[in-house]
Amino acid sequence: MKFPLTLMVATSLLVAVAHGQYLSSSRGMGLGAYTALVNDLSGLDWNPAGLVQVRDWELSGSNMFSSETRGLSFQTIGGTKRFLENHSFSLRYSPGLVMEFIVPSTFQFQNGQPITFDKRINYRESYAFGYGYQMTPDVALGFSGRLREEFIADTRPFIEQDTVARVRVVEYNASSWNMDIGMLWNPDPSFSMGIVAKNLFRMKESTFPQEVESYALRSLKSLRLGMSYRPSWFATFSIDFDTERQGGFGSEWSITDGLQFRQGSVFGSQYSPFFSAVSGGLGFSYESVRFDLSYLHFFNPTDRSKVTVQDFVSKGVKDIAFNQFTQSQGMLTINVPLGRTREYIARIEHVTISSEVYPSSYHVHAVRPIGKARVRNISQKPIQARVSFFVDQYMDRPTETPSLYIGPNEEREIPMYAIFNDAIRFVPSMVLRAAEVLVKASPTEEYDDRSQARLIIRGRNDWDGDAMTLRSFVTPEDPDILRFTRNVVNQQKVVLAETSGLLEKFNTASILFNEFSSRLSYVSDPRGSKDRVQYPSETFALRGGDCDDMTVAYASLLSSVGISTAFIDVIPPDRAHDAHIFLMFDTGVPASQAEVVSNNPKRYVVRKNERGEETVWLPVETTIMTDGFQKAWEVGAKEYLDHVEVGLGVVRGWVRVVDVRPMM
Amino acid sequence: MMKRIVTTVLLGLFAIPVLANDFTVKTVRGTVEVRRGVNEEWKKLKAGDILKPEDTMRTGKSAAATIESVNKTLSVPELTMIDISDVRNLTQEEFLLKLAMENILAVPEREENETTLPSTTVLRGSNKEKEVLEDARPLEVGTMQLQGARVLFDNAFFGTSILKTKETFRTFPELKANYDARILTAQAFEKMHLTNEAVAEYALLAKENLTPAQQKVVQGSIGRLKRK
Repeated sequence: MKFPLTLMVATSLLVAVAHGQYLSSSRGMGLGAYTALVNDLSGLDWNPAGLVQVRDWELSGSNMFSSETRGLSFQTIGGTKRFLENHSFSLRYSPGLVMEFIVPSTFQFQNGQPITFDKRINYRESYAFGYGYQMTPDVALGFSGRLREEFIADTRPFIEQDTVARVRVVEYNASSWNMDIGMLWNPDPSFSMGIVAKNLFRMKESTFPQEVESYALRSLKSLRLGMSYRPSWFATFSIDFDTERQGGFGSEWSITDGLQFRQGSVFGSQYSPFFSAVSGGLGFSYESVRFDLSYLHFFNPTDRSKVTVQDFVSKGVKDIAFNQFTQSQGMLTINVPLGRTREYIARIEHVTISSEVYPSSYHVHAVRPIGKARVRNISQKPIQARVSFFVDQYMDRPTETPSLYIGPNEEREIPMYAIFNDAIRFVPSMVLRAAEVLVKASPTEEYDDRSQARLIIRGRNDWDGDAMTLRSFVTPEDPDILRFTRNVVNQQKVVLAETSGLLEKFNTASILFNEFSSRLSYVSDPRGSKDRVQYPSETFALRGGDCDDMTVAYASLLSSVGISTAFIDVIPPDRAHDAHIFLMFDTGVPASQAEVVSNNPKRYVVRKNERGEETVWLPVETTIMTDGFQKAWEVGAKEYLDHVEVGLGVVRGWVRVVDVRPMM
Repeated sequence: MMKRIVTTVLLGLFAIPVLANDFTVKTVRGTVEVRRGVNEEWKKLKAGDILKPEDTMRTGKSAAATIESVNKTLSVPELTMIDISDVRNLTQEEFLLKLAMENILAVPEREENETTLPSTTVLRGSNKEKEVLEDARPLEVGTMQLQGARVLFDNAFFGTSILKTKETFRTFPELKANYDARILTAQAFEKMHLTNEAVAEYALLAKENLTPAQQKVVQGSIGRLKRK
């Protein structure tokens, strides 16, 4: 039997069996636009930058159902892990993400015997990976790679030995990695924007031969822009649009924290009608597990399933996830967070350390803020936030602020305090330490967010140059100081007993100064600066010091016998290098009896003491060590006269009088 | 000739320079003295002497002096004490700050949470009986200072005139009843266009034990200022 001629007739209709196609995320499908909101594994398709929204581990799985699948069909499973605080990595296996097209073909031999064989075109994306990076608190970047595999099984008839009609199956395959790059910008909790460049790079592993190239997936580069806006805690609106002139928009309505309703629409200039589909969805949570259920309905399901071969070849398939053959479908997605499963409600936006820590005055940080943390309420409800501050080694336990109210999506600066332990007093020279800052907003959790700040701890003798903090070096309770003053007072008790009670403090100060100056020498600071101060016991041990050392030492002596003192800090304008400090002390003599001290008012200062009484204070230049108290007083009074009375230094702000109140 | 020129140049080089704020004593009649800076001794002044800003001068009974600076001549009558640093004009801001100096210089109250030691040890056994001293401050000193304040007022140094009067009152409280000094202070405020302060000063003065004539002057001034 001979078969001289073979006739092939191809049907004009294409049967699209896109039973595995899906929109990647049930929540995204419900909203219709998800580029700016994506926060789970589906970032691999929607926007890889959204992967950073995963807090720790998260497993995701999706099933879909449609008229083709006639029931639930397992689609995808994958996981995302956040690591090193700002990085996320995802892997996905999606056996259900396939599309299959069948081109029915009929072969008829001359003897009239028809043989039917179909051409099968199969697309799939079974594997994908992604990476996200939180570049700044507001901006995240990410990229993803999807392995696209394409298979074509064609049937070719041939005549063997002119007598036997046979067919053979010819198979083709091609594969490539298609890369997307995305960016997510959250300048404000109520607004976010996402941009994704789809198929930006393509790494081909194999390609189709020319005769079937027209059936290949189109790897068209496109750019998609998405925005979302949340005007209040219960409403979210989003919209997506891309360079293919298609997109979607929708809204999400939160009934409670764990229940949301969604609706969306899909549109595109190449679709007919323009608004081609609507969607609806429901999201709910059980414990930490999130369920999202949605359904997408196309207005022209018939047109989507009956496509001519010509149409198929001319338009092709660009995106397996969503294309002109996508059918009405439902989807269920389950996200299971692991590790840090709780939703955090407070975030530290910024930590500011306002000052270095000087061991001499470390106590002040117990009552004055060492810095502040800017905390944002990232939840939709008011919170009570506390901030704790801890420096290892120099604090026994963290200090914690009282709870402070922060409204939804609002920020608040919370001052932080620090109670250092005694170890800080022995820091020999400047060290840098990391301070741990935690914010706690939920009573059940250890913390909501943590941050680190660099803290500079100066050496025990370091001084910031401020006369206020110089007071910290005054140590009237130091045993060396007490021993010194008690010995001197005992030795001079006869002299003191003979003096007027009115001049008792004056005489005591005079005797102490003379004894003090006889033992010490003025030595200028070897570093030529006033940023290092000796404690009085060190000054006595070293038998000398510079002006601030001597002033501190004498102030300590006077304070230890109950005489009030004040520093006179002089920083001449434009001559900061001539800065100088000396002191004055309260004689206790009432202003009305100042003549007892001197008949020249320029030798003393009349000040109100803490009890509101005006008394006579004497300026003393403590570096005048060799000529006794009278000379030191005279020089001190002259300095005060020149700087304060004649030079108007206090009025003009370059002389400051700082009362000494020794630190505990 | 050459020798004289060299001598003149050398004298010029080594002469005490007279600065802008310094005064030169032009005329002296009777006992006029100066107290230099923070020294306690008074020394006689003679014509040609230089007065530095940190100095204080005083005139005795029936004495008088004239002092002169670059652009100011001041006649100092008898029984007057003047700090040379007061012979200057203050800006209104400087004046008000100086006026508030009493509070600026006062020992501040302790802040809440301030971690300080209480004024630690107090010397025990003070002999309270010895605390009563004779008043060592002759009232004449205060009176001379008030006279100095008047000289400042007469020479339009209103700010320092007020400050000197108030300082004197602080150390000589018994002089607060001095009507002339008080009304001078109020008038100085007026001259400085500090109306509220002037009214306050007059109001305080009105509470003192004044003669009807004095009370009339004070009330008249208050009324006049309030109508402004």
